[in-house]
Amino acid sequence: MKNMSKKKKPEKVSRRKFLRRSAAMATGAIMVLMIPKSVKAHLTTSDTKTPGKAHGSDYDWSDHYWTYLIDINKCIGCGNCVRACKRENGVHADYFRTWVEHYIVTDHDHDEEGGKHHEHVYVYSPKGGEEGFYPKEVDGKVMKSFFVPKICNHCRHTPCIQVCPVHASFSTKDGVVLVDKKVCIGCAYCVQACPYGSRYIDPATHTADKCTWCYHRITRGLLPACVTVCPTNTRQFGDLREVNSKIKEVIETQHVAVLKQELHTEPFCFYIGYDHVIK
Amino acid sequence: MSSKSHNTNIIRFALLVVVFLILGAVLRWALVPHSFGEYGPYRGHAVEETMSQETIYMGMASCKTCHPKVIENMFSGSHNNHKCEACHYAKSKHAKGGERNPVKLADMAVDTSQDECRFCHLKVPGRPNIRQLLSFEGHLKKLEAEPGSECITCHDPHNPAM
Repeated sequence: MKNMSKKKKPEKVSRRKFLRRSAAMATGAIMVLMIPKSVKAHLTTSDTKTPGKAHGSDYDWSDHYWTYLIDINKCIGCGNCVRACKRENGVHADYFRTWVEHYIVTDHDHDEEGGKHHEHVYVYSPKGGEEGFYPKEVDGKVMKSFFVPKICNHCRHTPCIQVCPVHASFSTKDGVVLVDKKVCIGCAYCVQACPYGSRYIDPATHTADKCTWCYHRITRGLLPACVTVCPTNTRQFGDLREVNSKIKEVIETQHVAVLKQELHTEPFCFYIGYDHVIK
Repeated sequence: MSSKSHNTNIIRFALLVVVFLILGAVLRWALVPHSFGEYGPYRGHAVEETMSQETIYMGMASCKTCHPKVIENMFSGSHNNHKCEACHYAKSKHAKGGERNPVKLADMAVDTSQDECRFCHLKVPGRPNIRQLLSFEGHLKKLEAEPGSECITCHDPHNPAM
């Protein structure tokens, strides 16, 4: 009898303990499951947080969404933008954050893989257009010719950020794709991933470098350097969140195109006067 | 006896878990940049570092504080959409102090040769004919001028129409 009660007692307690412990474990499990949420909340931007406040800047990035507009019909290929970009950002001599391409389409017949072509497209960009353009010898009659300024498209779904193994490439809340040069290991995955050829490895720092839309200027209320010096208003820059935004109206009401739309990178650099030969 | 050793095992395991958690926290603190995740999955300070870059091009409003007449002259002619810093290079090293107390630091660098004019005015196929386009050699030959003559001997670069 004694033995029985001794044997029974621990069993009773153990059931209570079991329930108590199960409850504790369930609570613990719920708390563990909640951790990723709190981490996620920590990682996503809170509305009140904005960089630069500590340094006396009154710039609030949640009030802006930047976008770029290029009118190919207006570009005269003067190269002011290329020179300004280089001076403003100290870009290495042989590399370009922005450049201008000269397209010449002639009626020159030529054989290529896949048959005869009745159109020949010449694309050239001597020193990115930095030292100007000179007449070029081409075969056949020139049918059309134009200048196309190129720049980082600051895509919303950009492959360059996706491939970065160290989170050195990132997109700011106001829509600008930047590189953290202190974290970048110079693996150049992003250089290969960018479909627009906008990135390069800076030979001085051995890190990825690219157009920042002059982030240091736009956050101080200035325009990017390339836009500042453009004599024909080919290059325009604006804020989609601004009230009565001019650039927003143009993009919403006029015929604009983006480069390589089929890649679904969602570029925020729009072109007026786009032609199918533009790559 | 057996339950006692069972408890010790649990305590040992719990201690091991705690040690690993602490080790993980210390490693994360040491290896992950402190501002990582401040705004998103990247180092938050990188944004501020980019923002703090020095501005070189100051814009025409800044030139106007000391040179209103030159700009007025430019606006009255065909170069009315030109920007000072396109030909005169960037201003930041030229003056400081703003409107109240402007101090000149250095001369503006400017290329007075034909090259500066060729950027826009050389006749190249595809260049929109919205301004005077010419073959420089032909123009100078017609005027019987030296081949390397500076355009600014005859044309005022701020208001070039003759």
